[in-house]
Amino acid sequence: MYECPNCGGNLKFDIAQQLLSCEYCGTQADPYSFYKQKDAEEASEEGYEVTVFTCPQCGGEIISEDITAATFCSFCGASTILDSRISRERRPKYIIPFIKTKEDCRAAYGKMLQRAIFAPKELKDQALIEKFRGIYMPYWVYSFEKKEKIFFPGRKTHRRGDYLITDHYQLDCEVEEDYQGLAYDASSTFSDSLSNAIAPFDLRQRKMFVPAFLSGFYADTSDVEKDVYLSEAEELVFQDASRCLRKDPVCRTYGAGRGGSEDAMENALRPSSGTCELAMLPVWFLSYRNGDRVSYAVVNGQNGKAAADLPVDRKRYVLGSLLLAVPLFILLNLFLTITPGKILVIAAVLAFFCMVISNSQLSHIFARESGEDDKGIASIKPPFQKEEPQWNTRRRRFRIWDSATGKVFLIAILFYITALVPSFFLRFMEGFPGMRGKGSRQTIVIVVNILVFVGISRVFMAMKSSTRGRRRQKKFFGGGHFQEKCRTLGKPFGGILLAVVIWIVNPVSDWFYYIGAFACMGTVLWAIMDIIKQHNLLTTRKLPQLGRRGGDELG
Amino acid sequence: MFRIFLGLLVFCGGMMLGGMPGCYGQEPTGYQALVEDEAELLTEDQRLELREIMEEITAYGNVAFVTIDRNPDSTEDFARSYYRERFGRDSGTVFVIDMDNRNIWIHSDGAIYQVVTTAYANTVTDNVYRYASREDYFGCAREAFGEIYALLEGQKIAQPMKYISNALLAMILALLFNFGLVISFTRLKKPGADAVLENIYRNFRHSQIKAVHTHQTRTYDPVSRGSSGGGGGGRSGGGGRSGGGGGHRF
Repeated sequence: MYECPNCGGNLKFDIAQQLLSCEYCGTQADPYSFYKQKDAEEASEEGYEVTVFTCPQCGGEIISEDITAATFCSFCGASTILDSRISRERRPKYIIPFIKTKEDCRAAYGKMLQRAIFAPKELKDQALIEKFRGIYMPYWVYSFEKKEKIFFPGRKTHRRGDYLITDHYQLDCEVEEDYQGLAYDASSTFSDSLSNAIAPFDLRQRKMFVPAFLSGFYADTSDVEKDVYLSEAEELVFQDASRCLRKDPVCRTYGAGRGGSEDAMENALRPSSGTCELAMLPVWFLSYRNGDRVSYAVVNGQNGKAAADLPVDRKRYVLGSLLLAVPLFILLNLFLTITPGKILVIAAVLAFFCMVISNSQLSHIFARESGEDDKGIASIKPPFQKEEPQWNTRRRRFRIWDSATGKVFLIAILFYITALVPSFFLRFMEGFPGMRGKGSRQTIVIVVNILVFVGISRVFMAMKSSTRGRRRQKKFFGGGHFQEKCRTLGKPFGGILLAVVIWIVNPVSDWFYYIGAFACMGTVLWAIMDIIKQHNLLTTRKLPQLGRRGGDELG
Repeated sequence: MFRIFLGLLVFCGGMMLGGMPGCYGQEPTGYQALVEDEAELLTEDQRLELREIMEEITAYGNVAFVTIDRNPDSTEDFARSYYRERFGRDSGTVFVIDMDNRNIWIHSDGAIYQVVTTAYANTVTDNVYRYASREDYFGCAREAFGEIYALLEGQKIAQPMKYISNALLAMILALLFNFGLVISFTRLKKPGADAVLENIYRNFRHSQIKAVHTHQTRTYDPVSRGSSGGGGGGRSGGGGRSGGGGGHRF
């Protein structure tokens, strides 16, 4: 706590004045000059003493000078008395003080909610919005330099008769590159998706850190190692440098950095030296519980950019869709000529579209739940702690598709169900009046069978038991987790299957088409509701189990 | 003498009409009503009765009922060419029962096509194909012309499946569109590289680039000698299609 020299009151950082200000007598002081002695006594180059509050439920840690305010946890949203202790923390080098006030934050949050037309009204509750806390989040700030002569290849090609003559060149020049201020969040409690959404911070406005800036605010502690985002930052730098260099007329003449020589140029431009410093960047932070999960809303304390986990209120969503469906229905009646075959095809296409969306969402969910999509979380979790998603671990039993051979076998069956069964059925039906086979129908059956063959051979290729093969296998199955997705994706797939069978059998009666189309549309509606459920799952997160001081076992 | 000749002519004409599976007639409106039952699906009485029903449509244009039992082309092509042959570009409608392809088709043109559009032709054939499936060809034709006449008179015909299908489709499209809105407005997005680089201190300079020749490589890449010939002349544009229709298998 910083005491006012006039009245002994609490000095807090005043955003509007960008100075320390006394709550009682209004005395103002420069954070650098005021109590410089105190900072100098308590702090050193490496660390400084702070009061750390720890949530007994999630293990989340927060730094604050304001003891009375520590009544709820910003990370898990629990209303509880936080444990406090004096701790020596790593001293950040830079800080960007809060520029946006709480009012600015509320306005930015409100503006963002205006766009979220289907968000639940609870999110607009004033009592909830009041819980926004100003937290300084730790960020690793990377800076890179290079000042040396670089060499990279270039070439010119011309034709002479039946030969292509290529002249190879070595290009060289002196480069001077300097990139300072690439920031990546250094706290595992602050997810990459949220920190990216409110990025970028303008690091050119950074100031040297003194603890006085934290007065009146909270600060998170850093637990992510500094080399976690190094390669990402480095890549950004050499790709930008490469882009700048490629614009040079000489590079264009010799085709440098193009047609396969990109890597050579990027390697030549790779920074030769770099530094990584800890910085405290301002974030307005709000957490709200959603059952046994938590959602966050954040506002950039420097530029006011807002982002939040915004779920969809299903009642509002369905009502809004019903309203939109009325003009769409009128338009469809005016412009769409409905035939039974056409409606069946449209239903199948919509079902396929839903499958693609659902698969993408499920992949996101699995990546989120396992921490794969967050470098910070992934880096602090030892390999043995990497959890599988809960729904995967619930029922662990042997499944044939756990093995690569089993997968191939099942894919083959799947393909043949969609292709061969209808074609056999078709042959059987050809004996009936009105079911004369047409060349086009047989062509379809042949084409589908060729696709089966090609599909299976591709699966075999993807299943090769190498790391690269496994990665390809994952890509082939649209992000992996095949068996977990089966139950959800099976619904629209069933609709497609029904539509395909009816389309190939090609019965005379319209009833088959309409019943098939309506059934398929039913699966589409079901799939859309699943998609909304998945979206809502993506807008909530597992309660943090940080384990900085034991996590759950202290609860 | 003239009277005897006229009487013979009327007799022969009557015999011809009675012998051929069809009825022809020029109506007072100037439009024709034709029944050409080549596949012999109707009885003589049914043909006459059907023609009476069709006469009502001649107030709006030509009308024809055609049955065929051999057709190497599609029913649509047959109906289109038949219509052009008989009625040219006049207003009218033709209902075809194609026993070879087991298909029924309605083709319309001119003023009638403004009312009996492709969508309505599909609806009418959807409504009547069951008669043809049950081999009640007269009932099929009677119902089809009845619905065409109702449309021309400004009445509505039943198309419940269209409304149910469109309602479901509209709901699904609305749900998907709104989900698109949700994604585009609320999904957390990562800033692009340009946005990140704009907010940092960035300096990149380089000196004059020098190029030093190192070596040369040759790749055999024969130029194709075969003459591919000049491109053929483009076809001149057609006169454009008019009219249209719809049909259904039975």
